[in-house]
Amino acid sequence: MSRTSLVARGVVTTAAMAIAFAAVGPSPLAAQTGTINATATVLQPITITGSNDLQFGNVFPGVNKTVDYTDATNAGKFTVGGDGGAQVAVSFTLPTDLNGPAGSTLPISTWTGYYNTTNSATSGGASFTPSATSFNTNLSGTTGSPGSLYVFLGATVTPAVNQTQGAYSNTVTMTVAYTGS
Amino acid sequence: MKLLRALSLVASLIPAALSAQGVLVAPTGIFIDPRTHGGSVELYNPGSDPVEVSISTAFGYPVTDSLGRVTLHMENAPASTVPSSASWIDAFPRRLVVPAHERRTVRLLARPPITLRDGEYWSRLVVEAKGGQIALQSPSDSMGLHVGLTLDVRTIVAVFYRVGHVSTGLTMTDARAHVAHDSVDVCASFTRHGNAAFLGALHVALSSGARTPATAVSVPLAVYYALAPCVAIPARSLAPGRYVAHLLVDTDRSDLQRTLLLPIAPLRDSVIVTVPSPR
Amino acid sequence: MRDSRHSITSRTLRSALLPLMILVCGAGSTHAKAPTVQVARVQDLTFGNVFPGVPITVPLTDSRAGQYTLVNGTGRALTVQLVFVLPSTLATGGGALMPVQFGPASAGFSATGSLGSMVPFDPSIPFTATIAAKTTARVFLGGTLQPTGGQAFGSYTATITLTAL
Repeated sequence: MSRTSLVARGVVTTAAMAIAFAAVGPSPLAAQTGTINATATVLQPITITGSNDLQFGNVFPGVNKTVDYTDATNAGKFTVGGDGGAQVAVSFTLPTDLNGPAGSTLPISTWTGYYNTTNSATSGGASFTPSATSFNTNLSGTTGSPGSLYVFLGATVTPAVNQTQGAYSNTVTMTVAYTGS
Repeated sequence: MKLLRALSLVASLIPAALSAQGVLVAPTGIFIDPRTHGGSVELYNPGSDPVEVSISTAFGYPVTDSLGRVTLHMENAPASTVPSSASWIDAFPRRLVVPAHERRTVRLLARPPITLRDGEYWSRLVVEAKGGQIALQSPSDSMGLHVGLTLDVRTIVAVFYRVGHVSTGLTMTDARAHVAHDSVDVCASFTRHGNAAFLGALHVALSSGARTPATAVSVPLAVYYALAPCVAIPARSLAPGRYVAHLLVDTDRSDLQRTLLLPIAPLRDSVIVTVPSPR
Repeated sequence: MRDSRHSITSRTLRSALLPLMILVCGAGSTHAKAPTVQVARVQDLTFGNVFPGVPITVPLTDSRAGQYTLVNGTGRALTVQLVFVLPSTLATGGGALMPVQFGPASAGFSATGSLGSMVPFDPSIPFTATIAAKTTARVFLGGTLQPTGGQAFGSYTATITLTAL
């Protein structure tokens, strides 16, 4: 080992230490760091919404009234959202009567329906007869992207000539079963 | 005139149609094991009014009809021989109100019999959401009727309880294809093996010899016992001629947590179908 | 002899530099005992289950908010700058991204560690905090996730770093 190298090594080592200490020495505090994670899990959902009640509005005794599923204002409308292409079975619980004042009832029948992957009751979808027997279909799109399904409902009420005046109502239930799992 | 006045008075007392009512349910498949003894389902009300929700469990599984359409077979009183967990999985709470734009968590608690064998036990969670009742009022002197119906929604998702060693397998037979109206229906029969349902996907591609398929469709596939589904492939844009329908079954499902899927070796088959010239 | 001479030379040089070293970095000896604030993770910022298209906010007072401790073990109060490195997205292992936002009051500093004494601040701007002697302070962090309607399903994560300068 040469003298030069020995000397140089000692000097360089000491100088490096001095410079290193000098570089950090004036700082009153040393930086301290802590790390956490932000976490989330995106779940695959299915959303069913009764978007529009089935409205017959004013009805006259003895005069039948039909709301067609193409009636944009008064037809019943359900919206289903979920994973694109998701497979669903759709069925209905339908009343045969609407309930009115003092126990009086108003018959409702001739249910009509239309389902579509776009928000249209006139084209691109398929008509069906709503019932407790399910039909199966797929939401729009492909898996991993949002999919949708629109279902439109119409029906006919047949008030008697001597139908008790007042308000009549009932409930339609649409059941959507996810059949992909 | 009197009638018109009465009817207009009725109309003035009738509120506008209720805003959208419904509920978001997630996930669509809930997996429970003895380690957790429970699971949860999340509800979210996307509407502007509170929604009343009731939860129940039932036994059911997907089946196909003679046309290959998948529906849900429900059994109110399942036999003791079927792997039903409907009677020993409870939801807490069973009834709740989800305020507008808020979310709630429903806990599922499993209380299985201690003699439970290894395997998978099934039930369906039924989530029923009722919006506000349509408010129809009329004055006593009204000569008319006012009529409306509210829409309730019911969502059914799957619950799986897995205990011990679970496995699944699948056999595909009777692959076939035919032209029906404006689509090509590709069908196959599936029989499940093992002690757990098969959850995966059926991919169907139509090719006419070109390197890329003329068209392709993927659908989820859930086989609990046996299933014979048909997949309709739109044929309007297909040129007349001879096509090969390639069927592939695998466990590629992006909507379910991968770690919960029971893998199998992919199944393949192919059949020939001829798309006729338009008449 | 050569070794001895070399050794003497080396020692001489070191001796000559030593006072310089001490002079230059007088603080160096004190640096080993430099007052520091220890930053430590308490809990992650947990958004939990999220639905596509439905934003979710975790307030900084929520039990799911992220938390750090800042420990001043010295016998005197220390003033530090708190600097966050914030993500703009959470990611899945497959590369799907989900935007995350932090507002002007998404972070909070509590000199005593309790929520009651917390002072909200904007985590995107350095915040000056004073921690009393022998005290553990806390920093809380909330945020808002903005999943898209087509947000891919799965587990998302991101790293959030807090530095005390």
